[in-house]
Amino acid sequence: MGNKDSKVINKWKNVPVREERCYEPIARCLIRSLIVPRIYFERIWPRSGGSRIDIIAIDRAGTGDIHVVEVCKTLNESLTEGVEIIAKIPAHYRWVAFQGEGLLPHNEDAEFKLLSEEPLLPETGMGRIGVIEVIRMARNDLGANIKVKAERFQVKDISTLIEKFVNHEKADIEFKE
Amino acid sequence: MKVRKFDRVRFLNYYKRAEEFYLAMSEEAEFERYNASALLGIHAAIALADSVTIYESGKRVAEEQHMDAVKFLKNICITKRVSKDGPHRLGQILSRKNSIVYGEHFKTIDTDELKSIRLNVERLFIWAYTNFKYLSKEINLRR
Repeated sequence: MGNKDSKVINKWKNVPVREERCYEPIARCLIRSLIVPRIYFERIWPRSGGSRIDIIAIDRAGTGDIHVVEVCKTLNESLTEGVEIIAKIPAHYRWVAFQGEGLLPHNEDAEFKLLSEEPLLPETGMGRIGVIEVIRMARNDLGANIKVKAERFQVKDISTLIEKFVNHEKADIEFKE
Repeated sequence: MKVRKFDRVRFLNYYKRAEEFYLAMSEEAEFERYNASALLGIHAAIALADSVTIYESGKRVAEEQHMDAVKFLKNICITKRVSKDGPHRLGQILSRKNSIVYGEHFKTIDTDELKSIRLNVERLFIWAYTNFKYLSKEINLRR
């Protein structure tokens, strides 16, 4: 890394960014593990009580599994409020995201909580909420990495909802036919 | 055209292979290994076409007869009355295979040729998901 780059990183070290700036790196992170997904920002997902979901990704050109992401500021916030919100959303894969390395100082207590995985697991049944860390990279670019991989939740009667949603909403990021 | 009979259930093996190659294609491109990425894309396309033809007809063209695979996929599109965009893209992808695998020039940068292979592979997958909806449903049920 050049001298200039390290100066830029030091200048911005532990300075958080606006939540919306995290959307694109998180979307890119999901695109890496999905196949031609459709991505939507800040949309209301049916059966979620009318609340807007920060990021929705529907795998396989809108015909596959649905991934939802709640973007939070700190790791602690993502493991408390974030998890509470996302756990109620009927989706196959549920994620929380937080601003980590280079954006906010390290929080040891929250890291231990993450290691225990306790907040991420449902009381009964299958599934685990995944965790994505947004990081500051060289030249003040943002990136995102998966800290804990999400596991599939069992969701009943969702395929018709997905189909309706895909037909009705225009994706913010999609692979063109 | 030389074709072999296949148990339709075995389409899933080809489909899983197609998805794995696809994800590897994206990953290699991210690491700027563009030739490897293109080759994985070509294999993803072949496996995807095989999975569709096996599911739809219970048959698959003999190995290495790639242009026959294009014709066979086209026949399926005619029978099923779906867009022929898929076989068209498959043909474009396969026409680059020899140059990528055996060509004497090694490309260290992401050339238009390599980019267009990835683009065609992405579009082939979209075509498959749009026209053969069982693909994503079946894989979720049987994973």
